[in-house]
Amino acid sequence: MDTTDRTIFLLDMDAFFASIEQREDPNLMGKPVIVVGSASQRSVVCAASYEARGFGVHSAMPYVQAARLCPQAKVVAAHPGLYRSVSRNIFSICENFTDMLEISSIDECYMDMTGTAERFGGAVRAAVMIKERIRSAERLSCTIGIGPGKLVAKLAAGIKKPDGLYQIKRQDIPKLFSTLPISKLHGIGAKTAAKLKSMGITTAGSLGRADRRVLARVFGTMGDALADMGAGRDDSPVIPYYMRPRPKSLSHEHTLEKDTRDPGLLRHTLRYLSEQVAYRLRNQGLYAKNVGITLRFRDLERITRSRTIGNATDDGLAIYKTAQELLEIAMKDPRPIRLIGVSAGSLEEGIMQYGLFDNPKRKTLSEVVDGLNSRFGSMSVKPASLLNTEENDHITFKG
Amino acid sequence: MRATCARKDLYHGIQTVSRAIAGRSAWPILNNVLIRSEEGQLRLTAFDLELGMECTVPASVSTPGSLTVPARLIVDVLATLPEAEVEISVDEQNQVNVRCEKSDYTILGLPPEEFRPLPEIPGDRSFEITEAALRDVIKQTIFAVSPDETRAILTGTLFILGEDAIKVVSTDTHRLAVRESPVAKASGEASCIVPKRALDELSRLLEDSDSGVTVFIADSQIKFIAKGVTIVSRLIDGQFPNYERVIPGEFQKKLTIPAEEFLAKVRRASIVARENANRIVLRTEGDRLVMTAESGDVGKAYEELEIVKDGEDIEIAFNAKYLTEFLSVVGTEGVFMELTGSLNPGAMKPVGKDNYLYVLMPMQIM
Repeated sequence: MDTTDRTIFLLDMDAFFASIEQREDPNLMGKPVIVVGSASQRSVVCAASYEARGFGVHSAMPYVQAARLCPQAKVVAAHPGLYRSVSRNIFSICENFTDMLEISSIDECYMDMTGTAERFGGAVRAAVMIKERIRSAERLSCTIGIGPGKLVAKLAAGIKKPDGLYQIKRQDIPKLFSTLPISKLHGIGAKTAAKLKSMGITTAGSLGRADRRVLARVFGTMGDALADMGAGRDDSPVIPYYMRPRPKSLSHEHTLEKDTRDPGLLRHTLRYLSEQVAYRLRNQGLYAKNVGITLRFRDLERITRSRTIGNATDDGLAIYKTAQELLEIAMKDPRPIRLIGVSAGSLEEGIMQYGLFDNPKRKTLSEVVDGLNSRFGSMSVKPASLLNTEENDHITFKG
Repeated sequence: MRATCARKDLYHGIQTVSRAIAGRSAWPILNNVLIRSEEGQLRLTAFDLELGMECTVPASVSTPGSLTVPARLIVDVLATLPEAEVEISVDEQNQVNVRCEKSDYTILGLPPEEFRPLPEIPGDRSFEITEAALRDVIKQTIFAVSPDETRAILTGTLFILGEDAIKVVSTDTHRLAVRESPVAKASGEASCIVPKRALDELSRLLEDSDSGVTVFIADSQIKFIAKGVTIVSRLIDGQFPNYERVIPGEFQKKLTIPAEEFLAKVRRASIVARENANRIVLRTEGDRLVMTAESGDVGKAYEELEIVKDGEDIEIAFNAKYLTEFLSVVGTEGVFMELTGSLNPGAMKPVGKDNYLYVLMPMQIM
């Protein structure tokens, strides 16, 4: 692939959840805001406004710690449904600029503007237009990084946050990378950075110039990828959802309020997670031939158990039944359970063979329930066994 | 024990019963065949605790007794010995000696006392049926047995013994085959699930003949006696699904289709369909049945044939394999296909016979 002429945008919403909360409640404007899943001791910070970040609060930090750092912060419970709907609106604005849109999280997407940026008067003009459209439609600000690849675009966005716009051209890379700490490269974590440092590699530029053979010896197959990153080379394509390969598996997990061995609570959570997995299967037109569970015990050891089922399914109850059998076996381990998850694997496309003993009413029921839930929010309609319970809604986000 | 018999007889006898030995059992005695002397014959038994088989071969016994020997080994030795008398004997250390002309083999056996005897089956629930009839009954139902070991109940065939008939049912939850046959000397009523493996072994023995097969049913075992061979099998424990519930009571369209032509065309179309989950779409256009299959990676198939149709036109998709498996064993010139809608089960029956029913679920047309 010739990648010299690519124009890649990374659009990142600024303090997304916190900004939405500030928009919804003017009293929160200009104040430190912390958004949490629920105000329990084990909750973590979902998002922090820039005012709160000034106190050292950041997302994924335990709530207790955040409250210590910034006791005056306004603490708000998350509104996942609202965030999802705003997110959808923003991405549909982006789709007016290119169809090559890769949504990487609820508040971030890559856009391949190669060839299309010119129609809007160039990359920077296009980025300004996108920012303005989002601001006028949603009253929210975002940062757009522009680069010849995803890696550099992400880096560019990080340089001018919040409400920024920054372009790094290919010819700027050598100079910029010569002083750029390797930890700033997206994809290099603390461990890799420490290892590289011990080899005398501290800047992106020095990583790019490092001997590939030495990198390969230390990092194995990752060696080449690291050297490419150091040189700012990044061929990875922007993959829109409709071109994305079929997932190998789908899973949902839940960290329990406290470590438990209560079979009722565990079964209940399992049922909820099974319904979530089944909903996503149906949404993507997939059927699972394999059902698995994940347990994480108090000592943080994680186990998974899975089983192949007779007929591929997209039914929450069928998934739950197998998951529950697996749970019963796994519960022979006496350790208290911290986290529980359900996964669906061996996914097949929907060339569906109907079963003689299937209940056709269940299939119709699932379709109707999915329709209602997509209109009124996840789990607005749910199995009776999940009634009278706290809302367990989750959203995934990248910090 | 010491006896002589024709190589061919001993070889075929041991080969037949050794099919009851599944493989390398961790318990060595289960890999052995038991040979016991009787008057003028040797009784051969193999039993891996699931399936047991027994037969006799003519022999002249000079010292009565019994021995066990690894089935696989002795079959391999007997297979290549010259066509002559074989003398088989055993010493006190359970070393089995096989001699034939100038060949002399010593094979390490195990004490016969270790061999598990075949279970006794009481004779109060039993029936008789001809070889040919039983062969057809098995052939017309066994293909619908599920290969899915996680649902043990469906890996066997349901036998229901009534007053003067048996009903035999197999299903893998996508299709269902039901076959009835009259039987003789039926005593007692019974319902049991017979593992596919036992029926496979039984089918190997059965020929197109009027000789009788006697069947005994106990609570957890079934015994077949055919052609001098006894087959004993463990039954599958559990409740067979309520298959009667899924047999369509009524239908809106009825097609009469020439079976052989239909089979040939479905087979050909499935060359394309096999790349797409075997899906083949059937569509009626007046008195024509159009079959199409499509696969993005391969291409398209189109076939048509003349049929007789009652009712409106219909479009429905089936797994081609489910059609060919039925059409290859139905054994009549014509078949009926009774349909209602593209999501409802279809029923297939031989024209002119009412003892065989095949129900199959459609696939999504898309």
